[in-house]
Amino acid sequence: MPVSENKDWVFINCPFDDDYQELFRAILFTIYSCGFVPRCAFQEDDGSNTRIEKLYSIIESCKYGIHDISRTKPDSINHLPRFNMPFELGLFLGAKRYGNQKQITKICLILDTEPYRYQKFLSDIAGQDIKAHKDNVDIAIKKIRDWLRVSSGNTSIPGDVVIKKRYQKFKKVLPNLSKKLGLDHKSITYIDLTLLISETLKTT
Amino acid sequence: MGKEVKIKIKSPIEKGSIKPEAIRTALKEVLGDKGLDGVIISSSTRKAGSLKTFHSTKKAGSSKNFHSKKKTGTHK
Repeated sequence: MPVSENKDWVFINCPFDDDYQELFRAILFTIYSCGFVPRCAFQEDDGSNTRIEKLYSIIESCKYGIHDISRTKPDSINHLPRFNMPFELGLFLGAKRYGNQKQITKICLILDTEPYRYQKFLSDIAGQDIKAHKDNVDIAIKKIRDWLRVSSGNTSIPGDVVIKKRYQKFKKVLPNLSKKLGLDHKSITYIDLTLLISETLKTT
Repeated sequence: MGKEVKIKIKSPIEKGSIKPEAIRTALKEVLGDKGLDGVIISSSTRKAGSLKTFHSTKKAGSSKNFHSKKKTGTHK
């Protein structure tokens, strides 16, 4: 069954390990700050759906996609590299290439740690404009904010300096805020975190 | 006979909920009357990401001032 596309939804394709948490939270915060809604595999917890079905559905529903392909090293547990990010980028590009009228309007931002590094491990996408965040939160916020500003044409998107300041303040109050709500900020779920971010921004 | 007192007992879900109202209350306790920007929050909330201030804005294209317009055709 076709899924309806939402022009404000942003598919997030990134690592979900502990080392990436800081960047992941900054990405979520930036997306909400720009008036968009993030979507990722954590959004749905339907055990009857296979992971790939969830991905098809989320990718189909999102006009925008942020793909971080920076995790190239083997993980510490299995000592193997993760291929999920390049795979999901491929699905997104495939939808854009072969999809219907709505799907071909998809826009994506590809992120890596260093510029041009991707040419050594994912040369098929050579020639694309890939942005480097250098594993730095401030750089990631600026890259994502600027990309959403340009691709959406939305003039009400705040400047990156404003978003960075708000994020730092949010980070500072998150432990206390979570505690008051009976949550542990270190292990907060995606769904709770996104609710906290969106509500905080609404009252700011 | 003692007077009957009705006590509303909140369900455990209500007590520990993270409904938007609960978040707003917790935010007020954590941030005080100021938002993330350090600016006093108005009672009305605004859309996330919006840079709008609380000043009222003039309608685009409107040049109305406080003088009343004279009706066309009248010589008053």
